[in-house]
Amino acid sequence: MSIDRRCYGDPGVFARELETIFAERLFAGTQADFARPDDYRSLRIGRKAVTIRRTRSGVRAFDNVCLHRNALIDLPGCGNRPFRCGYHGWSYADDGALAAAPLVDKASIARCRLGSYPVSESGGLHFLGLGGAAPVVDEVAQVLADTGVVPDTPFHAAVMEHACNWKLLVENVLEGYHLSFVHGDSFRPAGFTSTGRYAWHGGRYTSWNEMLPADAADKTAALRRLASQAGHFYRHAYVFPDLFLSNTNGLVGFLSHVIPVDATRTRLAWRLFELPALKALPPALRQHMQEEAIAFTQQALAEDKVLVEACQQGLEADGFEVQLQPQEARIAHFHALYLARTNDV
Amino acid sequence: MTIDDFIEKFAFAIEVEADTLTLDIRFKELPSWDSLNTLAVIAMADADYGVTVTGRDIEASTTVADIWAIVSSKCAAAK
Ligand code: FES
Ligand SMILES: [Fe+2]
Repeated sequence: MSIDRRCYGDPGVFARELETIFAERLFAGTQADFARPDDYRSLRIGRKAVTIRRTRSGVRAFDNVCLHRNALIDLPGCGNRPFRCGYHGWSYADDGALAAAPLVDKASIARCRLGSYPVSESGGLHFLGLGGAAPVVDEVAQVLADTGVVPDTPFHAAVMEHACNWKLLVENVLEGYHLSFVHGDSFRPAGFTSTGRYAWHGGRYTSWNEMLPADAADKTAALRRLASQAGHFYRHAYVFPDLFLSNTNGLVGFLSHVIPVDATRTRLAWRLFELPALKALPPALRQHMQEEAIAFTQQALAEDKVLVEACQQGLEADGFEVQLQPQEARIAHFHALYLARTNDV
Repeated sequence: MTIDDFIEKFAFAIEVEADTLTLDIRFKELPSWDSLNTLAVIAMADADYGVTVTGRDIEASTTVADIWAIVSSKCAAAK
């Protein structure tokens, strides 16, 4: 059973996905995003504006709409600032209670606490439970261990807009089938093709795979000469519904997450970080690898964007249900996770 | 620090036989040249000469002599 093709553009389906799928677990940020008190990330998903903050009692998430006149308290994005609305200075305590409101008539204040949401953490990754239940994260540490991803402070971050449904971005990264056709200037020269060796595993809300180059293209020895912990592989992890992580050659880590805007528009926020083996190398090498990783990722994402947007257009035209292939087992797994949660929304 | 020494180290870094390499070889035209070799040359300059050669230095270079000029001048500047 696959996800019905009508689920890729219907605003009603999209609204229900926000209420079910994205309310179950949503990527909120990494340890690096909340390293210091008052570090925050503020985001918008559907009609929810939420800010996630490092407070003295840990990382907490609150409604980000000021109780006074509805300004966003933390502006979209991330940074470090006191939990105080910039408009008239109403400020909030670590539990979301209104702490100070200059010049107010106390009798006029009916609401004095922001709504809050549970946040779960595992392996340096924070997740938000917009539905009110703490997101289950018990598979996260294992998927990080299986792929060797150690989230760290990014050396590059960017956002890319896509004119497609969020599920197309998910499906696109869950298979290596398209590599030879789409990634002529990124994955293919790096040794990763549609026919490379591929292994995968799926859990209750995670999946991962490892791709290895064909023997003739295998550069493991040369990579090990540079860094003994390195290898020639590409490992990719998915945490349902919105988070992707990858490990290239044991050197470069990648984290991205989809931010659904509406049924046919999705933002992909991505960042690159060094894995421990890269951090141990001389600065000139690190610098060069970082630059290469940025160029590679920009190239690969641009190559993918054309095709996921082409799928969206195809889905909006008359067509047929998908015909998934054995190489696309992780997509079938994703569809099963989706359908189990939506009952075919 | 001699040129011969450098050629030997350069050859080892990019995994070709030292006696096939001369100063006027356009190293990026070697059939075995790939992006990993850029990293290997950066690593060699760092480990064997204690100087920083960047990816851009290598990109801007054509022959082994060009890289030698960069390494030797950086070594001289470091003294
Ligand atoms: S809107 Fe926030 S203090 Fe006025
Ligand atoms: Fe791709």
